[in-house]
Amino acid sequence: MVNRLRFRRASRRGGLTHRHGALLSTYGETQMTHAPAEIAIEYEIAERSPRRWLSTPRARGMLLLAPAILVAVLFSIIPLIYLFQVSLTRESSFFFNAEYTADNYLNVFGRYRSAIIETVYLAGVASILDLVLGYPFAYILIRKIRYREFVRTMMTFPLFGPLYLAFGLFYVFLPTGPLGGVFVLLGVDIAKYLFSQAAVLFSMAVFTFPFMVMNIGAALANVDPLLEEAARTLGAKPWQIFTRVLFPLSWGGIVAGFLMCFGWNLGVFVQPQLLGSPKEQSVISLQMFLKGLVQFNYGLAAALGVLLMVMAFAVTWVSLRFSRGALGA
Amino acid sequence: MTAMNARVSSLVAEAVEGRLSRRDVIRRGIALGMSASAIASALTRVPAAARAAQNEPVKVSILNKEMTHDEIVAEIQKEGEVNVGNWTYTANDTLIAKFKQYVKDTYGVDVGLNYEASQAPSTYITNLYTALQSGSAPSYDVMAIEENYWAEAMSQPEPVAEEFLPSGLVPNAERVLDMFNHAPTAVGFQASATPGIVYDKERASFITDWTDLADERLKQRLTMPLPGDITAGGMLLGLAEALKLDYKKPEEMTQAIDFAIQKIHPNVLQYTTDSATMQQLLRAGVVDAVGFWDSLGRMEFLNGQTNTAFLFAKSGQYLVNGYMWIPKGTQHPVLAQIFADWRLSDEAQFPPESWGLEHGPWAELNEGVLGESYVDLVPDWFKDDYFNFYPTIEQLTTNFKTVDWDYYAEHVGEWMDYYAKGIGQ
Repeated sequence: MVNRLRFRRASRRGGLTHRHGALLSTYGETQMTHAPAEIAIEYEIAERSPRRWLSTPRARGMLLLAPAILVAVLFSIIPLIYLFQVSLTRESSFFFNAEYTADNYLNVFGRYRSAIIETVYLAGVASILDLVLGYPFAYILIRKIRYREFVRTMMTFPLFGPLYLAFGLFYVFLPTGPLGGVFVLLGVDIAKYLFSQAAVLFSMAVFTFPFMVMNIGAALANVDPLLEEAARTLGAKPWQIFTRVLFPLSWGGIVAGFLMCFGWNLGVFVQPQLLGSPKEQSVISLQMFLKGLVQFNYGLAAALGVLLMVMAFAVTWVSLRFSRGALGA
Repeated sequence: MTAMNARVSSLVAEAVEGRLSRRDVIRRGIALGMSASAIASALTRVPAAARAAQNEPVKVSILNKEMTHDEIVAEIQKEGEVNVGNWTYTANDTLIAKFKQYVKDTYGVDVGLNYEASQAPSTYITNLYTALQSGSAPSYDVMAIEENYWAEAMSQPEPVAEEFLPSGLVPNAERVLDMFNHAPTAVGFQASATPGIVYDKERASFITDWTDLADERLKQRLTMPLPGDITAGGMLLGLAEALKLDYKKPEEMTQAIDFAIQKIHPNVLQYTTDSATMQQLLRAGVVDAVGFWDSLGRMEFLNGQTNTAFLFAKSGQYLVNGYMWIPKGTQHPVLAQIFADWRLSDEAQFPPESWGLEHGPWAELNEGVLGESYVDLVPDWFKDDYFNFYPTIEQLTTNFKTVDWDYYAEHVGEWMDYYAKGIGQ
């Protein structure tokens, strides 16, 4: 009994050799090739000798992970702790004589509740737009299209610049711009739509469209075309093939794509600023900028930032949890 | 340029090149038949470098010592570079090249100038606070940004700016009107910057004051600044003035903001502080008026948009000029002061033709006359129109208003929050 306990402790601490570890994970402790007492002694020796410990797979794994952990702690965890600390201080007092308060969070969930709703709404609708337009596009890209790499490149490049994308749309729709003239000829007052929710949603959806297509495309690429063929042979109509074959089999990609688009869109900044009405301009990241970097209310800006971080974390977690490995998990 | 001022400029040049002492300048002025005031003007315009070149020690407040020319050169060599956080983007490359050339010509040293520009200079303040909090050196040696940011910095419980004025290295500060001088910590380098209305004179000829922005003819044909920064702040102050309300009385300021929300907001197509967006909208005829800064009006005019003008509101304008100050703990105090002095010099205030600037950018860079000694530097090509776009010294001291920045810094957060909420943000 004592040996069993020591063995368990040993296995938890990672002092076991690869052979033992593999056996344990595959068959459980009843399938061991060595007696527990032997293993425990081996572990104790390994534990006492750093060189031997360093030669274990777990140690090698930890050493390989160390730079990533260090980078994450230095540039992600510590700044987040710092951000949280700032969020508990009044206005710019953090930099001089910090006055601690919870008012910023009361403000976030009071005065800025509508901003949270607007941000989630815009991110959600833009992601739905991406899904509706992205699914057929991904299907065509995977199954039908020639010059696939060229199309992929054309589709992906908006990812590199929401700013020029928003400016481009603004220019295109000006009455003196390339499309604006067409609208003028058609008698449409395009200026009315230039700064509107529709313009913001459109530019957000264009920006995150590639995320959706890439994720759904990856999922569809794993669906054997013979399954569609078989369904068709058995008399299934196109919509039945979609709902009963393609959709269930590409679900992971849909979830991953949707949540990735949603996550990116939560932090939207440029599009509402350039193309939005005041309502869209209330999104969290723009308010963070205005409160923090324009009005020096760093405490409130940090509280908004913490909220955004929590939302982004939740989205990422849900995305990894429910995407069935589409994100490479 | 008048004949007398040409002679003053010529005497200054002679003094710098010939390294004339003060007494020599006076003698030379008398010999040229110049008046006492002209000679005095010339004396103030002889840069510190010229005086230092004669190895007359100059007082350097930050270092709390008198420095000879040789000591200054040694210090410049040690410092090597200067970092400036600047408000505007105009002619940055030219300014960098000309300043470096100036230091080379005057002190014989090659230096670096990192001249950063931002239309959201509040980020410089954030950098400064972060540096001070962490005990490290500030990123910038000179802050050349709007006056309200200086006031905001000065309102902090601990000093964030060096006391450097008066300084033997910044003699040009003496030429600046008292109203632009915040010695010992700051000096204005702009004289006419003011948030206001830039409009198309034909399409919106009816605009004469802030309250006209509520006119129905402007429905969806107006942009206003995003609630938040000093552009919007200046608008609200101006609007309060036009409504004969006192911005220092909370209930009256609330009335002014209510006017903006209820009467002006329905006319607003977009809230933006991006000048490129405004230019495009005005030129495309999508809007008739934009709320921004005076510089946009004259830049557009000189770029051929002759119907575009800046409105000097009937009820008056609030000045929000750029000020230079030196953050606490600067690593390059001597070069910072030399930069500040050069920025106030004749050539940096009224760039000559040799700088090769187009007239539009020239008019964006130049922000009016900082004092009497600058008046006659107005170039010939702009002489007829200059005071249609810039205030005279008399107007500056009468029509233009100054803001109580301490009060502003204390209340702007509430105003903006109320305003933003009112327009649906």
